[in-house]
Amino acid sequence: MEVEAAKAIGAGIACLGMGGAGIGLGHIFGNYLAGALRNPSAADGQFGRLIFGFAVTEALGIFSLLVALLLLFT
Amino acid sequence: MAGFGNALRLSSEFIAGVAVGAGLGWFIDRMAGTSPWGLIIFLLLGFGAGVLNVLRSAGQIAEFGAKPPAGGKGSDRK
Amino acid sequence: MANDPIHQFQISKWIPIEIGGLDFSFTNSSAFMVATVAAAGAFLFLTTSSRGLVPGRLQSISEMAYEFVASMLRDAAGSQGMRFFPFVFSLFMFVLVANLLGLFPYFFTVTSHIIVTFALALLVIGTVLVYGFWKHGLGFLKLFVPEGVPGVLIPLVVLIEVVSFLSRPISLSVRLFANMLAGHITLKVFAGFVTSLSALGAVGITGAVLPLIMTVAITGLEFLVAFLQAYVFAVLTCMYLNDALHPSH
Repeated sequence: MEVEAAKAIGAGIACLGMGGAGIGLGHIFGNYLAGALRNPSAADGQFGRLIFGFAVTEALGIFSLLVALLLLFT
Repeated sequence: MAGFGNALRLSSEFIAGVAVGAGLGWFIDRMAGTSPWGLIIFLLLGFGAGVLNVLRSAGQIAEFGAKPPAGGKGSDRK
Repeated sequence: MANDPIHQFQISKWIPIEIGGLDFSFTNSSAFMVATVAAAGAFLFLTTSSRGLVPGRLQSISEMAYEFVASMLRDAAGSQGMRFFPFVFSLFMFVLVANLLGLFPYFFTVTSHIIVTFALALLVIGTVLVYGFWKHGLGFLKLFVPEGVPGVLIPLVVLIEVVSFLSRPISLSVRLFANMLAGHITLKVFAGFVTSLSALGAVGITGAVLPLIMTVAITGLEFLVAFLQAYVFAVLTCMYLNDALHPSH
């Protein structure tokens, strides 16, 4: 197989990892919303932790984006 | 509908951070020939900048110039 | 195809001009930019020319726009920021009138092209940079060094702040462009449903009522979006100008 074609396919497969990050983000925000609806008075105080969880989860998605970009542009 | 606008705003801030980081890293790689390290480092920096942008526009930490418009000491930056 | 939702964004040359191999043609986009400026200028000029002490309806619209932008700028950047008032007001009126003009059927939406919004955003960031360095010299760089960060982390934080600063024109322009583009495509797609359904005969025409209602609703929504995006653009401009005026934290 051509190396270029293999690279493009590999970049595409690497992007699947971002789907995992998407699922994780859905869980995080969904659970935050569920918790916030149960106890709205405590919701604002947990916003920082929400963003922390968002950042950690999204970082893993960014790693797969990084792999894809490295395959495409180096 | 304001919620939709807000969400679009936050995600565009985040994506802009990552995109600018990646673009800057790619450009530095091309200029300095440090491939692939510039892309790796600046993409991660761009991710940090994206999170910072999101926090800023969500109003969790102070804006660049701080809230009191007179330019006083602007306090609650983490 | 008649229902192609992208077709409305096509640039067509009206008067081809070429200088030194570069394309300076007068396109439909340029025509609508001229129309935008002319409409905004003529409206503001004509409605305020009577200078009534008690404003009429149209005059109070102009005065409301003026007061709206002025209070926005005063809130975000302080009374010193008022020296940028002409700049912010022109930007706000241009974006607002361009968005609203784009809502007329068969009209071209200037702000649905990313190069236009990106040029506007670059103008804002360029003003911030030039004014900041002119006013504060190298002290403007303090913008990138937040207070209370431990010494070890400073290089990292500065790099992150620089990337964050550079991402501002991108997010500013992409937000306006994406909103206008998405809105107009949605509008066109639903309007396309109406025509293709009503071609199916009596059943189709009764069914076409639903997308027709949707189209009307989206048109109303688009008026809101047009105003909201112009407002967001102007508010963020004010905030960035505030950085140029007061870079220290």
